[in-house]
Amino acid sequence: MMRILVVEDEAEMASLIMDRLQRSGFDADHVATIGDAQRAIDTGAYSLALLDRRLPDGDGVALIPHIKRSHPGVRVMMLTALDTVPDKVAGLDAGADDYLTKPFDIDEFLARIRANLRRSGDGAGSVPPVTVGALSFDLTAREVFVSGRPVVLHRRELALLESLVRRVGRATPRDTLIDEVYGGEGEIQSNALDALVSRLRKHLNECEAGVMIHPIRGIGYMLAKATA
Amino acid sequence: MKKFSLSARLVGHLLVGQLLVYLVVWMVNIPLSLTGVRADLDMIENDFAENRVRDEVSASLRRGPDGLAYIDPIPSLRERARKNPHLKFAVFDLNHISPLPGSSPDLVELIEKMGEIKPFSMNFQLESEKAPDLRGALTKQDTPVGRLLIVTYGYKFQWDDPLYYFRDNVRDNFLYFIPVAAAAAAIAWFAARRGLAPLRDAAAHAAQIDMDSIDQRIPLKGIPTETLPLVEAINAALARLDAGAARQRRFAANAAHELRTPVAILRTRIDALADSSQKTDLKRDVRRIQNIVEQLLVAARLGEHGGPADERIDVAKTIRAMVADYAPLVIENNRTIEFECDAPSVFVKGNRRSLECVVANLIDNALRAEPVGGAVHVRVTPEVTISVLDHGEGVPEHAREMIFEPFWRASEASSGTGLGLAIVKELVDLHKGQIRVESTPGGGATFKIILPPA
Repeated sequence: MMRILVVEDEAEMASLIMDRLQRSGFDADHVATIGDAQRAIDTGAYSLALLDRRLPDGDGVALIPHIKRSHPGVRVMMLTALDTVPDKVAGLDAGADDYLTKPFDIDEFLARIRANLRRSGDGAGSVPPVTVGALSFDLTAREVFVSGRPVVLHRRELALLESLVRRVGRATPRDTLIDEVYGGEGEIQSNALDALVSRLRKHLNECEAGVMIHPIRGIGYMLAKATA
Repeated sequence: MKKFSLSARLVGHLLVGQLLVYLVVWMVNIPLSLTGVRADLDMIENDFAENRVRDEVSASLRRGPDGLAYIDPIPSLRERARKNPHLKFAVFDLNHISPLPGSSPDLVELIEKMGEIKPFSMNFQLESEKAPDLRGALTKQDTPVGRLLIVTYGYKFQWDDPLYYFRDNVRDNFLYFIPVAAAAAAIAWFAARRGLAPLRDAAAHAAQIDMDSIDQRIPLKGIPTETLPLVEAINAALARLDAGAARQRRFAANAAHELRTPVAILRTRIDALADSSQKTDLKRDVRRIQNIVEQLLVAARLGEHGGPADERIDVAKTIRAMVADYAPLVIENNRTIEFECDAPSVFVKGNRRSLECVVANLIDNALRAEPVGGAVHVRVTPEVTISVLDHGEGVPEHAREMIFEPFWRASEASSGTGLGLAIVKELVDLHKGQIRVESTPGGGATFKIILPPA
């Protein structure tokens, strides 16, 4: 399993992030200073570092070159309230792989962590499955379970569900869905995606997955837990 | 406040001053004359009476039925002659040849005796009278019967004679005084207008300065030194206001920035709660707080830089992403949100963050107004308009202007500080756009922003 290092000096924020990561199945450790972060990184146990910028012993950005030099496989995601373009440029220039500003949406936060872990150098590790309602999607093995029982889906339905699951709780643009489901297939019929969504929806309902695929006109679709 | 014109006041003061100087000079001349200090002004007290007597003689001239002029003393002259046996008067035509009937024979004889000398103006004494304090005068004068020579003698001082003397003096001197005074007044008027012109320019400059250009100062070039302290004081006041405004903006920006971390903590904490309708409400509320914080930050930063950055923004893309971003919150609140835009891209110039704030605020409001099960519509057209439609109670006609005023609230009971729409308007104004609220067909409010296309 891939480990995440959380570098955050705000104790409350740190405990909330840690709690959320652990509940989502990630292994994570927390440090509050650049010095501690440096020592933790040097143990070589981490695949992803979440870096705050304003830390008691300096700017988190200062840590990035050290990480990238000694452990090039570790992904770095800035997590900070500094949101101006120059701030972001400074972070990305220093070698950060991603930049998320506070306050952030928790679903987006988790999705970005998954995306970063997927791209991390030692891709061998596994990402915890994403659970929505009774549905559980193992992104590494591309397997679907409902209440622990495996569910078999048609190839395209699986691709669509994966696409939606990666952005669970957020709207996925139509173009992105078409790209990820029909990628490279040339022209597709305009209502093909909608028909596919209907089929997947029916399938998920039948096996009582406890999820909803909401249409959002002018945007695309959104997967969310079904409301009671 | 009572207004006054500096030019008018200057001219007024100048005219009054000149008049006073004239009076003083005239009054100073009297003692100079009476004491004989000035040789050319040989006057005694009785000389003051001459003007009056001469006037009475002039008023006594008549023309008979034969067309010939004669003296018919008016009652006051008659009375004067009765009281003063020395008084004599005579009137001649300009050739001295023919005295008018009624002239004193003594005077006629005396003048005729002068022979070769034809006086047209003189003062004299009569040796024969043995009265050194009595004098006579010969003066050319326009009378009711034409221009004639009037000779008077033996007039005596009365207390009010100087008034007549003064009246004649004024009449003669004002011919010179009026053009001189008028010229002085015109020069003063012109000088004042010219001198004040730089102040008018300064005022025009000051009128241009508002909160967005408070870093500007009134140029001191050409300002007269007399008014320099005023202009410098105004500039100093502007500098203090500028510094104060900058301090306030920094404070707002810092405060907004400091609020982000607690809002982030709050948001994450709410996310961690078990699902419930309360959680949904809390998520919506915290999103609103976050938007207001962002707005304050954006407004403060824009104020700092004087205007929106000239970024080229695809509003279709930006707003589509925002609608997508809002969708989860809207759906959790049992409403839906729809995005409509026929064009793939719609470009405007401005600041992306501030436009996002504007639209976020409108979506927040629409979400609160939209009834359960309804759909908030967000529409972008290439013209460029951005509309956010809800199907709530709408905004009554009379309130449609006021809702953009800071701290306006529909009623004491309604929620919100009313700051949101004021900031929205300010941000739209900075983009040289317009915002208005209309009715959604079928009921509800439509907020429409019109922006100049890039």
